Amino acid sequence: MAFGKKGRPSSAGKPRIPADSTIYFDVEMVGLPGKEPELIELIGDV
Amino acid sequence: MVHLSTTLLLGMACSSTQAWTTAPAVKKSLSTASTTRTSLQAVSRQDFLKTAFAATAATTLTAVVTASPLAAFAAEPIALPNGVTYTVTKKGEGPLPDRGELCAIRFSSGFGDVKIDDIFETPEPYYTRVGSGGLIKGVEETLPLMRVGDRWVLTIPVSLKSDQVLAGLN
Repeated sequence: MAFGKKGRPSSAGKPRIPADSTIYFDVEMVGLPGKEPELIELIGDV
Repeated sequence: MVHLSTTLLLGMACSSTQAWTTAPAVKKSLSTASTTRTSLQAVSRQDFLKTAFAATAATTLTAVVTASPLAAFAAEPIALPNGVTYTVTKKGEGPLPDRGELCAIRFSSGFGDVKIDDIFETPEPYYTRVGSGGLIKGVEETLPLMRVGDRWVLTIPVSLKSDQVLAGLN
């Protein structure tokens, strides 16, 4: 859910979110550190 | 050419100031030369501008169509059972995250015209564990469905349909 009927009060650098707001999120998955190859696997043991 | 320019300049000076009295024949000659030159200039300039505009428009249109990530995908919103809808703006080919796994994301969020957050330009992405509750529920439930490289625009409703939990997240 988003922030529901309570909304969210403003905080430092963040606006107040009114109650019952529909929120959009533009999300990009940029990496999974646990599934990325180790550097040594890429360049080999030198 | 120099002679014609001089003649035109003289003609313009004559017509604008009306200070000199010139013979009618000379006046007519000057007027004809001036009209011909103006007409030639107008046509060539018009043609040039048409050609330049067409070329620029074609180049710009091609660049916009090919550069836009939306062009590759139909911007059809997809609805999840929990009420979240998302639109794919970039398709990744990486692996899917497992629940509890550390993932790095970048996001911007907001409502209406108000932007709440934007970490697309920060030096480091936001690291979170999938399913740990660090983000709002609608995003938490969607992250396991995203491959590395995916970029989706989620619309999180006011309340999720709590009785319809996404299947296959564990």
